[in-house]
Amino acid sequence: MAGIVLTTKEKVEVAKMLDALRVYQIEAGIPAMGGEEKKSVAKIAALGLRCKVSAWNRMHIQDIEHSLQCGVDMVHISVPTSDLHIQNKLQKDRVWVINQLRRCVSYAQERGAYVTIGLEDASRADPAFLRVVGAAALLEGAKRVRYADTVGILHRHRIVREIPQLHAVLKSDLEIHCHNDLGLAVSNSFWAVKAGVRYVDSTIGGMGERAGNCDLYQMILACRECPDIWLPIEPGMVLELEQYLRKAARRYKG
Amino acid sequence: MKGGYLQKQPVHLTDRTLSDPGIMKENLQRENLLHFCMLLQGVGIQKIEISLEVLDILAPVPCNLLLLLRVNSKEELLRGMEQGILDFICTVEVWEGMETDDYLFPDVQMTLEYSVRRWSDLTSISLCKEWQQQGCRCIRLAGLIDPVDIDILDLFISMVAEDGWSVDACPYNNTSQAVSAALDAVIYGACSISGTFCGWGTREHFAPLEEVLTALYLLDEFTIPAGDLALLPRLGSEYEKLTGCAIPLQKPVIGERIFWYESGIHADGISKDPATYEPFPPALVGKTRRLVLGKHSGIRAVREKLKELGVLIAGAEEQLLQQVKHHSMKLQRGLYTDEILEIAGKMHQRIGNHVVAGRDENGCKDCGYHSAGRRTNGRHCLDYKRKSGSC
Repeated sequence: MAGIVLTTKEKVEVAKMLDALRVYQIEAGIPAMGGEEKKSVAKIAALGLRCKVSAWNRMHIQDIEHSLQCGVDMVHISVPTSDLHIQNKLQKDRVWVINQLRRCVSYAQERGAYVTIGLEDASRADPAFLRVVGAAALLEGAKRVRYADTVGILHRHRIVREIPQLHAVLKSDLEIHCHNDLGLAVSNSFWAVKAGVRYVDSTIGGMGERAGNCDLYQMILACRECPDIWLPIEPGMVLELEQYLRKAARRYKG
Repeated sequence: MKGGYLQKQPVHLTDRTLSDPGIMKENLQRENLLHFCMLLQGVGIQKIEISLEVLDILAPVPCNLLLLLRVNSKEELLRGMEQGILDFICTVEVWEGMETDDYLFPDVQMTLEYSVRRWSDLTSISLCKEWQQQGCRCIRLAGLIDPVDIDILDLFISMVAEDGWSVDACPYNNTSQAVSAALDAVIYGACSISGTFCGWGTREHFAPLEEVLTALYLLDEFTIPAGDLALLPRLGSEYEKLTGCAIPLQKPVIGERIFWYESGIHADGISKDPATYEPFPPALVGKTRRLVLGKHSGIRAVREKLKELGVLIAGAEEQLLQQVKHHSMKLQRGLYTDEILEIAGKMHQRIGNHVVAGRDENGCKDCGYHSAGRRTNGRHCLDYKRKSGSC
């Protein structure tokens, strides 16, 4: 969220609280930003937490190198997949994306990293290209593919159609990353799980870019309505963590 | 992605904020209420559900307002008809307790509200054909909080449509599924969706209509109601007065900070094409984007911000970036505009660069203050800009 800053001490405290909640994984930050950000990721990675600690990277060898230096358990590489992102943001083409993806995944793999990739802006991408990108990453050794609804425009009817199609081709673990621009992040995450996704990205209080991400507390409540989804996180503890983070959020008056 | 695989369904939206008993009574003045109602219609919400208390304040009702009066007895129904109201809603329990043969006119319409918290509740709905002759042609399904068997709604709407009933869906938002359920209901043939502005309610929380409206507009498979979403901020102000509740800063579509951005990656993408990281332009919903400088900023963000502020520090953006990050960590938050200008001003003094307000290195475009080939005191323009916003 714009304007919100967590100190390294606060980030470490939040990491410990998340670990106590028994989340599977914490995406601790972006080491390529350097400075305090990189130091905080390294500190969290060194805590010896039960959960996995991962770092977010662009498709740059240097970014990955920064993450490896932090000693994280997992390296996540974000891959722009929509033509809008590839052409307008990167000013490249699809062939370049595939080649760069292969280079980055194999670089990380060769150095012993557990690699996951993110299909950035997947909800505005060509579904066939998503399958090509996912398959290329898995061939190079990536272990999991994240479907990112970067601008929050997915809805249930697309999810129940597109996620199984992707799963049928990739046959790997899938992860969902939703944004809340239309108030659909929790619902989309829920339906993605029903469609076969096993990993859900969420944040405390739904904090995140623009209208935020999938709110962990709301996701727990939604999953409780469904007996065949098991999400063993205590909602009361999530609310305590929300209280803690609200202090940081109130520091920026705008 | 463009639609086309789903049949377009005409759909209407009904706002039920003003039928909630928790509305701030001290703010219930005719002018406020009228303004709120006009703005609701302005953004594309066709019908406004009200209580009798609100009707008494609104009367005489302007003829361009489509009102739906919630009634709890035959007496309230008659009072509404005296005021010229022709559209009513009541729970099916209230309807079954009314004696209606002697006073309903042909033009009167009654919507019957059923509580459907679980899908199994649909099986207990029994609709009487005679009720249609008494003006009941629409049923509202209120609740719909169990998301799992939502496809049953498709079957239900088709079945009742064969008997001449239309369906209004009013999902509750207990599990953050209301907007999704509303969109599903539209796809399955519901003729209208009911909710409230900002999802507000004192007993239940409803589908936030601003989210439903924007989703219908954006997702291309639906027929959208005509309206100007740029009126949403004004509607938000009226809502805060009526309910006493502040809109959360990150509330989808209407939150104050939803178009604020800081991260270097987002700043880079937005500077090249805002559509990379925005689902719709801020102006669509009456907002503007705002670049915040702080710990997560990158060099491009610094350049963009300096350009926005009309400040030029030739060749020193990287140093400014480091200063921004340092101060942001020290203050434990993003920086405000005057803080950024102060840092830029101090950097000018330390490194002796030519700093002017405006992009023309030959002098300030605004006031003409000019260096004439020597190092200028660019602080003239910085100070003026900080104090008054212009030279």
